[in-house]
Amino acid sequence: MNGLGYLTAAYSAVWLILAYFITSLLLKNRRLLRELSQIEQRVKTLENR
Amino acid sequence: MKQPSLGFDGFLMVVLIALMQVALIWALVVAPADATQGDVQRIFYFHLGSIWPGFVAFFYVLYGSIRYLMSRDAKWDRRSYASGQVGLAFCTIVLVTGPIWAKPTWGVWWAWDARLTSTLLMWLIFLGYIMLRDYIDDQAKRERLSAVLGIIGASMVPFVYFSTRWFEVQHPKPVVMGDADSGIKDPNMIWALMLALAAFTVLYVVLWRRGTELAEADADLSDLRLRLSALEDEA
Repeated sequence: MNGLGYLTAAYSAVWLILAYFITSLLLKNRRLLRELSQIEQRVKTLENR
Repeated sequence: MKQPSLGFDGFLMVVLIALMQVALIWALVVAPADATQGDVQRIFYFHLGSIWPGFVAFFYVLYGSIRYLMSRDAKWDRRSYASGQVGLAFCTIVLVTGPIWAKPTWGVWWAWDARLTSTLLMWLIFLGYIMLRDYIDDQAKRERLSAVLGIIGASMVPFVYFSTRWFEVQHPKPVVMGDADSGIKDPNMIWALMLALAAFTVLYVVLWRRGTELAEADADLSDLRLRLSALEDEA
């Protein structure tokens, strides 16, 4: 592998690590929104009792 | 009609996208290729650009952990946790790009010198810091142990930085605040480094703010779940 190959590998690694991290934040955000809607559902059920 | 405001986070995103693009152009196009290493030296800009916000993130963990131990206020634990997560991501970038740069320049992927070994150790401590939270259910105990581990991990930062001065190492001497004979001289190379440092610092702030918001929302939801369960039991 020449210098440009190593350079491409390094910069690809930077974006892949950042993409993994940002995706994990987005997934956590989605999980929290799902849990919030479940809680809202439970509150509605409780109010209707 | 009044236009909706982007807010501070929107402003940060605009600055981040602009800075990241300019930093990439400077690092890959404008800065000249190194006379001895050639194009592979361009890894340096994002390699060093990542460790700086990594150090900032770990110093914040130190600050937040001390504040937590003094006040026992969970907000400091959540802020430290968010900073530790981002710091770990930046430290991972450093540990991955370093060997990719080392292979063509040193001839080996890794050398067990003081700089590389201490960076790996710091990374392992913060990996433990993040994983610890999934294995301890007792909130107060988890926060206390996290704070202690965070302080131990962040205490590694000065050792990692000064290791190249204190020991004989394969890793180059510091470029920022280093000796007169070390570092880069070409103005465009200095600009490429400064832009990468600025872009990654803004990225740290963006990710830390988002991570803190999520950690706080997670804690609020856990609290709500408990209160709701209690109400359901009563009803």
